[in-house]
Amino acid sequence: MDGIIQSLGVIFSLSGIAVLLIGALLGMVIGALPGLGPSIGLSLLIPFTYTMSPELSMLLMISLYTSAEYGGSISAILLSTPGTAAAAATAIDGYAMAQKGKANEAISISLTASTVGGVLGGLALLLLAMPLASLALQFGPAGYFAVGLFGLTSVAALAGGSLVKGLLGAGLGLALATVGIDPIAGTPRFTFGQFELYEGVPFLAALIGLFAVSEAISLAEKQARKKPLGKTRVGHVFLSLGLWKETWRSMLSGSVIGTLLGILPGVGGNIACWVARDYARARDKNPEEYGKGAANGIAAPEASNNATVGGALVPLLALGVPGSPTTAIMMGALIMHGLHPGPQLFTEEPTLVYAILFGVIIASLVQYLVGSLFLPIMARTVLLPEGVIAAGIMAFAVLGAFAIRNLMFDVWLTLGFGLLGYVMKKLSFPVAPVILAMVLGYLIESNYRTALVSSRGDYMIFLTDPISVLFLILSLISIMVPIRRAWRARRAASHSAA
Amino acid sequence: MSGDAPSPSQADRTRPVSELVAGAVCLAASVAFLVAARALPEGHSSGDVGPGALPLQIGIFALVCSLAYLGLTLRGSFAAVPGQFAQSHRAGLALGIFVLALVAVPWLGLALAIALASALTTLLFDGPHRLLRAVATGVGIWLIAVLLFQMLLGLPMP
Repeated sequence: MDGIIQSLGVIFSLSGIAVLLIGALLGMVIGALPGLGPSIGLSLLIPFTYTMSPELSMLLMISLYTSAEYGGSISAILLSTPGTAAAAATAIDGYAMAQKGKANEAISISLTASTVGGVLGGLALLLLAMPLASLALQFGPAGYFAVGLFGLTSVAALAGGSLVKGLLGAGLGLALATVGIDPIAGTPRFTFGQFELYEGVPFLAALIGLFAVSEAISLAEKQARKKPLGKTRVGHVFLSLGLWKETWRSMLSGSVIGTLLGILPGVGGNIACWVARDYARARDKNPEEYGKGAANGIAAPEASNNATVGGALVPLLALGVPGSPTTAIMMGALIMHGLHPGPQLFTEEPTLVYAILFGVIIASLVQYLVGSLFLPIMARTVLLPEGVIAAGIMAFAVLGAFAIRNLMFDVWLTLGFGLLGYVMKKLSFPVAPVILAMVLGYLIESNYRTALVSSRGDYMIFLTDPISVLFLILSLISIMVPIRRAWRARRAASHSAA
Repeated sequence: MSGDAPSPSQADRTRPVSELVAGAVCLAASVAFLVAARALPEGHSSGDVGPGALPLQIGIFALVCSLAYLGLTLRGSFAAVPGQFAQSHRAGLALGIFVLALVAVPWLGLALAIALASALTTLLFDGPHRLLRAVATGVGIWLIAVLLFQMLLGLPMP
């Protein structure tokens, strides 16, 4: 009970409200700028959270994460260019509605649905995280190793594109995680005599490089021209009663779909938005309206992508296993504060845990307030020149990388990761498994070796522990499903060719 | 095993050179990692597999994946993308500007170096009032570096 009261005290303190407002504003701007998203936003934000308390830093990150999910819909509606991948489904009906001169209505649906989705996802997190964490406290090292492995294989398999590339990315991340002093024996590994590597490859350098710098380089290459807003005017964003009545069912179904899919590792808003839209369309009396500016075609995906925020935090808080790059960044931030996310956090840091649990709900409400008040300004930010965005990202990346340990070594490392991330993007290698593997590397290795020490080197421990067996089977399934899908697609293609 | 990769019937049957090069690099890196992992010591305590055990397994895993990647590329599972790196010169220039700026940090200082790099990067983009935009970006970045990072966050700028 003390934890709840103290966490609410932090949230409703002057600094708590300030970080929530700043996070919401930044999140909307970053979400609205095409190409950027919550992962890039959070990676550039982390250096500013060093000096904050863990509670305030988490509130800032949650607020940015939530609002960036909504912000993606602003450019999707106004420019037909989704700011984030999770707003791709919104662009179809949102832009069609804007073309009819109803940009205000489209954005009001998006903002309200995002708020509803965020609040419901937050409530689900509040209800699910604690019982799951109690269950996870029973896990032994073998079980934990398998849980970590499952988180990794599912993200590698579902990160998009080729499975083999996802697995190679996971392998690269795990290899990078082994650099530095080994967690059991204290032996330096792959440091090549560089003292800067004794603590391991700085997670933040990899993060900023792979997400932010690579995106800045890609922006420099693309040099896409933005369509002017023309006569589109945006002002108030309050949802009318009629639109409430029309869309509330889609908001609810989208929220449930988003929360459930958000919990699954590797499945985020970019998949949930399409599932929610398809579900809403299948249940709608006028499915032919979809694609022509249907209100439910905006409400369902927007509710779902914001609901994934609460869902994605469930495995992070309950198991200490992030299911998405964004939650991996949040886990990295917690580690930098000297904390180890997982079920023990509920007893060790109750104020922090409740600040996160309530923070998702409060951040969604703050997002509604900020979204309503600052929309005309947000609508202009989508037209910010790409040259300025690219240069700004690079500059912030360099300064953020230097802020990690005040070492130029980290800056060079960040640029190296940026180049790697750019090449990976060009070759359709997902970067999410690299980041996730870097975060999970410690958990996987320490539990793997602790389990073997406890069994005196007997590998059967992984096949006799029921939790371990369950998650090893799930890992196998997560790899086999895309292989089977690809095999069936190939067979169907060869049949149709014959 | 290629997940959502285009089916061979849809894909351009020519083998993409970039994928082949990437596969070869992955293979070489896996072998190098495996060799380095083998040099790590054995575990000392009973049951401890030692600091080299997991890196060794990661190396083998990466080696298998690299071979699968090369095999899939040779089978035509990945479509060749014409001009995939054709526009990369501007991307390379943007990165190059920042690399040069970092080299110049001992003489210019970090704040001024990245402000200049930002201004030059902005000039790479077309659009109206390029020079004005570049100057504004440079000044803005310099102010952010000094006021926000150096003064507010207390970052000791080189």
